[in-house]
Amino acid sequence: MELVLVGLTHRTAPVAVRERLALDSSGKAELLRSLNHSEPLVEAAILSTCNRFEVYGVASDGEQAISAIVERLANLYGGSAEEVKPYLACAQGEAVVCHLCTVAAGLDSMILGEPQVLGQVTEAYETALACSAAGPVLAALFRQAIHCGKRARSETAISERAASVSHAAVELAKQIFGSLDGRRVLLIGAGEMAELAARNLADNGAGRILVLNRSLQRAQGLAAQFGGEAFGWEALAAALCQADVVICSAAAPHAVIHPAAVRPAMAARHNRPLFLIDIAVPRNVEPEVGRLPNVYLYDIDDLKAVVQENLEQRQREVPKVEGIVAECTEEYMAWLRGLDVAATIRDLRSAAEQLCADEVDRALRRLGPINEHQERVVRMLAHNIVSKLLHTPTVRLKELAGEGEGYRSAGVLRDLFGLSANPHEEHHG
Amino acid sequence: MVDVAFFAVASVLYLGATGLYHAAWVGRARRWRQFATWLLVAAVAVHGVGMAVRWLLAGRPPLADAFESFSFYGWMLAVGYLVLERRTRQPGLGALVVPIALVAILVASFFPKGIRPLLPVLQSPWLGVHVTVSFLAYVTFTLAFASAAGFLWVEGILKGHRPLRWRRNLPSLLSLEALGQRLALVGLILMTGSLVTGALWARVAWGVPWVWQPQQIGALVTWAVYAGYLGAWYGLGWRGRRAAWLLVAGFVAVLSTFVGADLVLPGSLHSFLWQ
Repeated sequence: MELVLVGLTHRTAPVAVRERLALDSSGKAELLRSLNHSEPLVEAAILSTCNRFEVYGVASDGEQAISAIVERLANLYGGSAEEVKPYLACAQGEAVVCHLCTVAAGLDSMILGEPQVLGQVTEAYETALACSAAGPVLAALFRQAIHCGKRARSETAISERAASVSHAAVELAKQIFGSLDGRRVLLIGAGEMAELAARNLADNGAGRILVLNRSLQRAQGLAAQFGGEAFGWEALAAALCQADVVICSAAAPHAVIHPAAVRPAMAARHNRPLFLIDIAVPRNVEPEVGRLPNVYLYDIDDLKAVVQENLEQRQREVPKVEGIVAECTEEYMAWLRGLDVAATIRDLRSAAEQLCADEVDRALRRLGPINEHQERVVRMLAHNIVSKLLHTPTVRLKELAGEGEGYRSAGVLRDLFGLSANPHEEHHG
Repeated sequence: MVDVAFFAVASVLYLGATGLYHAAWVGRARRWRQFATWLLVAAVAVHGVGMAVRWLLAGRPPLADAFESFSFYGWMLAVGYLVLERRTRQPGLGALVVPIALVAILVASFFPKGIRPLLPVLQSPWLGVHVTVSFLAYVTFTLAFASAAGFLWVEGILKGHRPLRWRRNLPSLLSLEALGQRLALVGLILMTGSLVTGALWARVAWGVPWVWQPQQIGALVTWAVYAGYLGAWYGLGWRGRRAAWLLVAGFVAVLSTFVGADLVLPGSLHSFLWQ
């Protein structure tokens, strides 16, 4: 019984290849079913995101299973196995566990530590369970990977701090205002980037959105999207008095916000802080404005520097996360080794013998003085009951092992007799 | 000297709490923050028992000499901070406030610790009332100073576009500013109480309510600085750095009232502290 992995990621395959393997949920279910009927495979799961397409499997023979999966993927791709092979990465055994844990922790993502991948791993797990494609081995593997991803995010800073310009803007706004509830956002210019930042702010609780544009029509279009209000250029002074966060992205040949306009606005707003985000090039806001008290001005380079710094900080967390991945991998491998039939039989026997010895001693103490012969009879009795009781399961288990199904029964046996706790159940009840 | 043993144990606990608050500030483990709070609670408890024992031994409130004053101030500051931490749920300020409490405790430890009988002039129920109200005011102002210092620091980071790095648990600018303002308001009310109770006691003890001695003048100046701060806040709409610096100035006035007036100008009527 062996774990196998065949897949392609943003590191191994260009998007032109990845898109040909993109599947909707019914396509995934179909592929899972067909994989389950491929000869050596007994379990399968698919992890599919925009950056990766990976097939996880359990089979009695690893090499055979890999070529079976490659065959399926080639069909899906619409080419020969030789055509897809250069884009595929294959792995067996412990490397598979390590890879899925790494992926779930966000180490293999395009943006280091991004959070979505954990949800995608969970989704893959649920799909595989729903299609009855994942058995105990893969189910435990995915649970362990999800556990690993959660640990990485809570114990390290791998997912902390904004990793994009628009998130950085939200983060800075929160650092100034605390909660964004009810804060007013002013968009100057109706660019795409401004829209993204405004959407992020709105998602974080920002209240009214004001849109200011040279073309009132475009302003109205954007304002309608957010349920905000649109104004023409002449309303700038009034809007500056109302807004808390201003996002500037107007295409203007020179600055449109000058200290002379901001100074009276600050007085009118009783010096409440004003956060100006200038993502336009050339800049919309004169740099002098940033020197005014209670005005916080960030231009596109400042925001990029913030993101860069945050990503570097995430990078510094990588060794810690790798440590967690190694721990989780080791935990899972220990559990997997426990599924070994011979070890399970050994553990079962020794547990039974221990129990037998304890019970006999207790009985002998209660009986009081008896002669040597009588004692031997009691011991034999206990020993024979235990041996005969265990004989059939032991033989059956060995037979099943010969058929390649032993690990399932070994797992059940361990569960029923409480031989060793399954490390994954603890965390996921 | 049982009480001094309690004091010594409490000092060590304060030192530990200071370390943990800083570790929690720099590090990211939530557990440390909780340890820090519990250690400070333990320090306050041990210190409180020590002061109660001293009260019993002396037969008067332990608020009469320099050791007792600094020790009481440190204890009140720690208690005040714990109340604040519970209410705001922002442990960040601990890294600023707890060291101030520790310094007060260390200063206290340099003064003679023997229990001496009260000077006749101090033998009055007014002692407990006046000193407690005054110290409550000082402690509230100290917390306002910590908020202002925190504000100035975070403001500097944001204004200078400096990276936030590990400082991910910084309170927001507006919350620090609002906290400082509210504390200044409460402090000013308490300070008014301190001046009034002081005047009433002085009339009983000396026959006149006001004698223009250094500590009284210091208290008046302190009162004026905070009144000015609140006036600028409400009347002129002062916010941000300017307002925060006024709170820092207020704390300097508190320090000079509490320590400076008597240290620099011995012989004043409050200088029993230094005998």
